[in-house]
This record gives sequence, structure tokens and C-alpha cells, in this order.
Amino acid sequence: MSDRPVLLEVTDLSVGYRTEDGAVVTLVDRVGFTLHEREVLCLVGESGSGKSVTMLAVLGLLPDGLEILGGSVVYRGRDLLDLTPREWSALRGAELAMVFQDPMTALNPVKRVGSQIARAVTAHTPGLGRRAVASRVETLLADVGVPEPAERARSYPHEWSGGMRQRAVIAMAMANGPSVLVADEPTTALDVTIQAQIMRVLADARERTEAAMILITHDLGLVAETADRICIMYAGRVVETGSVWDIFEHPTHPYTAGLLASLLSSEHTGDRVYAIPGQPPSPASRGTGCPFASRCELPAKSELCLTTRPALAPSGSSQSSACHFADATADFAAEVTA
Amino acid sequence: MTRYLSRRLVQALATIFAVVTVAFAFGRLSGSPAALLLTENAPKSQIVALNHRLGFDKPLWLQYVDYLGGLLHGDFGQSYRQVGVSSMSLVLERLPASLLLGAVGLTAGILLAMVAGLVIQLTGSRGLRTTALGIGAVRQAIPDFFFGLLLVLIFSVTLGILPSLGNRGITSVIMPALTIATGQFILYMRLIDNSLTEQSSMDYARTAYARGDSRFRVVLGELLPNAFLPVMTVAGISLGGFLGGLVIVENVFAWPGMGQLMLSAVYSRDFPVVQSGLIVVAGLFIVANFAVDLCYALIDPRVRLR
Amino acid sequence: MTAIDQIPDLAPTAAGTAIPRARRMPRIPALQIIGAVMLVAVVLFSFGYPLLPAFDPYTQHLSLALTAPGVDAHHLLGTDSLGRDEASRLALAGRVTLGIVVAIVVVNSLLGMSIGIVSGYLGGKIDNLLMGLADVQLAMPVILVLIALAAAVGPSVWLMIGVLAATYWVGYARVARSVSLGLRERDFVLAPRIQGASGFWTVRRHIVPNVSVQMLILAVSDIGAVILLTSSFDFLGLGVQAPMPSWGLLISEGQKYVRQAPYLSILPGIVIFLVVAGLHLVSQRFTSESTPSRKRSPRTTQKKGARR
Repeated sequence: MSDRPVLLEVTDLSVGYRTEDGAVVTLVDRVGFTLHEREVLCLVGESGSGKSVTMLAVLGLLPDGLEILGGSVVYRGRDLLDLTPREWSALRGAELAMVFQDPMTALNPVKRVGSQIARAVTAHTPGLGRRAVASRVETLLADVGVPEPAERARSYPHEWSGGMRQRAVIAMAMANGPSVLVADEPTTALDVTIQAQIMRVLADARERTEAAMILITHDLGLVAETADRICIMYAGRVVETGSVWDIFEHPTHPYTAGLLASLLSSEHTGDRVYAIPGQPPSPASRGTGCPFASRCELPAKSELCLTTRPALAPSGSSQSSACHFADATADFAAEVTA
Repeated sequence: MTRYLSRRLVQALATIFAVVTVAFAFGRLSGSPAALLLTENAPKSQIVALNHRLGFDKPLWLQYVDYLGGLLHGDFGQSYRQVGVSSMSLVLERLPASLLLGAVGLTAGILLAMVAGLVIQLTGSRGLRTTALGIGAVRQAIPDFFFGLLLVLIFSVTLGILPSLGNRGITSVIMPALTIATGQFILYMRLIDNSLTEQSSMDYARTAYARGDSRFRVVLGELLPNAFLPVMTVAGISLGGFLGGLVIVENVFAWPGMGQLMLSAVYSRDFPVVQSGLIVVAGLFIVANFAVDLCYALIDPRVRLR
Repeated sequence: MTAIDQIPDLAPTAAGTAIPRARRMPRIPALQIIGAVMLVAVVLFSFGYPLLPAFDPYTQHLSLALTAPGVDAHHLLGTDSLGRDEASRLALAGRVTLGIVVAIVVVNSLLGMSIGIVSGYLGGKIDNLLMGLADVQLAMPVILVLIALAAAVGPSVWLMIGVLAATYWVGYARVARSVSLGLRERDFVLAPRIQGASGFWTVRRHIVPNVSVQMLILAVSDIGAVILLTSSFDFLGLGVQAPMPSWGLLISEGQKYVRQAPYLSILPGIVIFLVVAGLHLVSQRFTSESTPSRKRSPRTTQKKGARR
């Protein structure tokens, strides 16, 4: 994978907000990863681990109040953090597109679905005739498997089911053949039966446009099926990254090991043999040490974990791990998955 | 749609009937009006004759039936003071002036509020919001009649650039309309600002940004239609208070509208004119609420008129 | 594909709730102090000035008519068209206006509270009936009711007070109802009931104190609105009748002399502004703190509460 050219490179990206008394609370702490062309990278982590905030920051879509505290986001040689609003508008939707979690709220309720997709087309191809736009919208909808696209385009979002709406959102995202598609838990809000269909639609769409994808998820099952590489996030930091094969085979961070253990046990026996104890620290109470230390059950764990934050360092052929005792994790992983 | 229309029609008739009945009851509270209408030492025979002419010598229920029957024939009763003139025609004569002032004032107020709300939203300026809210709060602490008077003092008395009283051409509408518009401004500005802020945190706004829309385009094209829905609801609900304000403003500026007519009818105890005025106001209410329903259904596809 | 929650969905600490929405205006107590000063100044003047020997609101000095403020040492705020002392008229008008307004607010809050509690606590048909009544009253513009009655029986200050007392309780009833509706299901109200405490006892012991606080808050922020309302009615000649003065009536009298003696309408206008703005500043603190939802859109939130 890594022999392909680099498309997007995020380095030391930090995002946070200022409280009323001026203190800075960091939600995303020096996160970095690389996305190569046509690759699927999965950002995995619990709710609140900062994976969505990271991607919103990358796309310049942070909600009011949140700000980028440092780092760089380089897309095809341009630092996105320096872009003007006008440059952002030209880039978003054309080269970087996003699919959101909840299709029920992602579409404007008072506008026809077709016109919303049409807007994605005209935003980047101004001056296109009405006919041409309409037929483009039809093709886009047909591509994502919406039956009778010409007719459905004229209806409103509330007349569409959740699964259909997510198809429309995907059609909108693919409208201009983006190079990078960010999908933020695109199936979480959907029925289990629909989830597989939507993932299929996403895969097909990527195949057509040769887009690379960053998939945000907490579903490791989905990761195993889709990802080329994985980035595990915990408490606003990347704790482990590597190819999907390596990480599933031999995790080098106790958090990853714990996640895999809970996944495997539930798949084989229906019971959860292993569960990570405790809860992640809140953004305001992340100390100077390893944020996972309080929940870590690694036998090798020491005083060092509480005082010094481990940096991401190579821990295998494709892997990096932010653990002082990455070497000792293999035994632990074997033990908890047994 | 048919079901909606027939339901609306029944509601409208019930409203009119209620207003008519209440107005009738009010009108008979004072007993016979003849004593009020004639000079103090009028002979008894004259009072009896007038009472007979006005039908006040009949039993109450018969008067009521007569009145309702009259209404069905388009007879809303004659003015006590202008003998032989239909009270309704007096009211309808004044209706256009009131509608003009009310429409100009309300539209200006809502437009002003919308512009302010949009500018605040587009610039994201907190200072601007605080300023607008502050000005609005100051305006709210000034009663309409005093605000109107201040306008007269500034623009008519001191600067001498606007006519102070009556309806003398297009410039006359400026000050009364300004009084109404500034009064409505704060109500709608707060509403639109809240509404736009709420909408801007919705997922669909993010979707619009994600497909490459500019802030300007998202706020105007995506957020505004959604943010406008509560504006219409409130406009419908607060119509009563608005009409009340209209009565006051008309009297400050001697604007020849219905409000002024009704108030002078109070002074001259010309009850039929007030009664007809109330019926027209009820009609306005019904029409306005119907219009709000239609606009709502027009903007929001999720709303079906049932 | 397994969407099992192998990663527990823990408390949404980071991205979800921690995003600060610092939209509230900074609380500046200075504004409240200014408001209180404005309020106290007017009240002190209205009730203090009549204690001074200079107080004389009725004696006419036609030779001194329309004396501007500051010209005559005996009439510091000038005189009106009949040569009456403007300061005395203003003070008396203040007592009249404030007296009427406080009476109206007290009657309305008590009435509204009783109706609201009965409605909320008993529920059922009585609730439907009372809230239906409230809806009807809400749709009727008070001024039109007053105009209709004044046309029938003649305008008077008692008519105005009566009409306002009969119609203005709806807002209080709505709030009282939703508060007692909420309390009715709470343990500390429910438990004594189950143990046999009487309904009256429960209402007096638990519901009345809780509702009263809300009523007081509502009343304070309402006084300003009622001052504006009664002043408008006075101005139109539908309320206080001459020769008794009120702020609204003084402005209406002053309007006739707006060219020669603008101070006649400006002074009472300023007084109204001071009271209403002062009340607004003072009451903003607890309206924003105790009932945040009311600030957003009072009608919809109240309606939702009332409909449930």
C-alpha cells in the first residue's frame, strides 16, 4: 500500500477549545496519519476519542468554538490550514467529500433531494445547463442504487427511508469524483439489514471514482472487512497504527489488544470474555502520562506510564505504537484473547 | 385539502359567531342607548320613539335574532351618530388605510429583523448581536405612543421634514410605519437570530458546507427557509397584539384607519361602529391565520394541510 | 458485519457536550445595579415628592401656564397648560400608575396561580376546560375587548382594571399549571398523598411554595409590560380619566403642546422608560437563570408544557 503516492498527510494536529476562564481543553492531541491514493484508512476509537473531530478539522468543518491549536494538514502538497474560505469552498465537495453519520438529519428537510444533489454538481461546475444537471443527478442516484431516480429526485427527504437517504448523501459526496472520501460512521444510524448494502454502495462508488477513503468507525468487524490500514485513537491521540493484517495478528498496544479481545470473544462464544475495565479520561483530566494507564492491565506497566506520555514509535514492520512496553504487549494480547 | 378547507371554514364561522355574540352582549350591557344619544333633558316620548326605531323595546332574544338575521342580509346596523349610514361601510372605508400602515410597518419590521439576523449570522459578530439586542431592549422600554411622539418632535417639530398628522401622501406613512417596524423589529430579530443559530448547528448545514457551499450560500439558501418557519408561527400568534399596537399608533399620528375610527366611536358611544369593527378584525384574524397556514405548507413539505 | 457494541459507548465527554456554546451574554452585575438605581429613583420620587411642602398637583396658576422647567424656582419641572406644577403631577401620576399596575399584577398572579394549580393538580376535564378558556383569552387582543366594553358602558379606570384583571392571568396560569403538573408526580408530593395526606395539605405544603417563586419572578418581569399596557390605555383615554393624572395621560395632554412645551410629554415618557428599562435590567438576572427555556421562545415552550 505505502508504495502509492501520498494523498493526504496529517501531522501533529491538535484541536481544542477555550473555556470561559481562558484555559485550553485539548480534544485532539498531536494526531498524525498518512493517506495514500486509493487506500482505505480506518480511524477506530470509542465515542469521544476525537476521531470525528479530527476529520472535521481536516475538512475545515469544525463547529463554532472549536479551534485548531497546531499541526498541519497537507493535501497534494497544499497545507489546508492556510486556505481561505473561498479556496475551501472550491476544494470541499470537489476533491474532499464527506458522508455523515445520520442520514435522517443530513439533508435539508425543506428542499427536494434532487436539488440538493444538483447543488453539489453546480457548486463545482457552474454554468451547466438545467437539463445536463438533471441528468447528472439521475445518473448519480442510479449509481448508488436508487430506483426510479428521475422521479425520486423530485421528492423531499422525509419521503425517503434512512437507507435511501444515506444513498442520496453518498451520491452527493461522489458528485464531483473526489479523491478523498471521509465517511463518519456511515452505517451506525441504520438498521442492521441496511448496513451491508450501504457499505456495498460505498465500495462501488470508490471503485468507480478511485477515491481513497477514511472510514471513521468503532466497529472492528467493519474494519476487518474494509480497511487497508488502521489508526487506533484513544483519548484524542493515536495509540497504534499499521496495516490491518499486522494489527489484527499482533497488536502492539494494550488498548488495541483489549479491543480485539472483546471483539473475538464475542464472535466465537457469544460471551464477552474480556472487557477493558474503567472509562476513558475526560478531555479536561488527561494528565501528563499515558492516558490509558488507569485502565491498562499490562503486567509490565510501571511508574513511567503515569508520568511520561509515550510517543508513537515503530513497533513492527508496518506498525507504530504509543506504548512504553509495546514489546511486552504480544504476551498480554495472547493471554486476553485466549 | 378539502377537509382542511371545510375545517377552516367551520372554525371561521364559529369565530365570527362568537365575536358577534360577545359584541352583542357587550352592546346591551348599558341597557338602552337612547338616553345617551339624546340631550339630557329630552322628553320621554323622544326616548321611547328612538328606542322603538332602534328596536330596543323588543325582548333581548328577539333583538339578538333580528341582529343575526340582519347580518345574514349584510345589514350590520346603522351608526348611532351618522343616522342612515351603515356602520360597516364606515369601517370598510377606513380598512385600506389600516391595512396599508399595518402591512408596511410589519413588513419593514420583519425585513429589518431578517437583515440584522443575517448580518449577525454571516459576520459571526458577537458585538453586533449585543448591540442589536441592546437597541431592541431600549426600544422595548419605550411605549409606542411615546416613541411616535419623539419621532414627531424630531422629524416634524425640530427638523420639519415630515408631516406630523393625518395621511397627506406617501411621506405621512413613514413615521407611523417606523414606530410599528421598530416595535416589531426586536421580537423578530431575536427570533430569527435564535432560529438561525439553531439551524446552523444542524447536520444539513454541515452537509452543505461539505459539498462546497460558501457561508453566504448556506445561510441564505439552506438555513433561512428553515429559520423562517417559526417567524411565521409567531407572526400568526402575535397578530392580536400587533393590531392593538396599530390602534395606538393610528391615534398618535391621527392616521385615518379603523383604529382611529373605533376609538372615536368609543368617545361618541357609537356602538354599532365598534361592533362592525370587531367583526372586521375577526375576519382579518381568520384570513391572516389561513395565510400563515398556506405559507407554512408552501415552505415546509412535511406539512400537509389537513 | 457485526455492529455489536464491542467498544462501549461511554459518556459523550469530548466532542459531544464539551463544545462550548458561549452565546450567553456575559453577566454584568453593573447592569443590574443601574437598573435598580433607575427603578428606585422613580419610586422614591413618586412616593417621596408628595411628602414635600411643594407638592400641589391640582392648583391652577393660569398666569404661569406652560412655564418651562428650570425657569421658576417653585416649579422646577415647569407647569402644564393650566399652570399646575408638573413635578407634583408627575409624582401623583407615578403613584396612580404604579398603584394600578401593582394591583393588576397582584390580582392576576393570584388568580393565575389558583387557576393554574387547580388545573395542573386536578387535571382531567377541569384542566381541559380551564386551559381551553386560557386559549380563547390569549387569542383576544385585550385592547379590543376594552374598546368594545368602553364603547358600551363608557371608559373608566375601573373598567380598564377589570378587563386586565379578567384577561391577563393566562400567562401565570400556564406557568403555575406546568410547575404543579411537574410536581404532582414527584416523590415528595406523591409520598404523603399515598400515606393519606389531604390534597389541600399537599397543595399548601408543597405546590404553593414552589409555584409562588415562579409567580414572583414572572410578576417582576411582567410589571414593565403592564405599565406599557396601562399607559397606552391611559393615553388613548380608555383608562385613568382627567383630572387624575397618570403617566400615559400626561403624555396625551402634553401631545397637544408638543410644539410649545415638549417637556410636558418628554418628562413622563422618560419616567416610563426609566421604570420599564430598570425593571427589565433587574429582572433579566433571574429570568435567564431560573427559566432558561422561557427566553428562547416563550410561546412555544409554554404551549408545549401546557399541552401535555
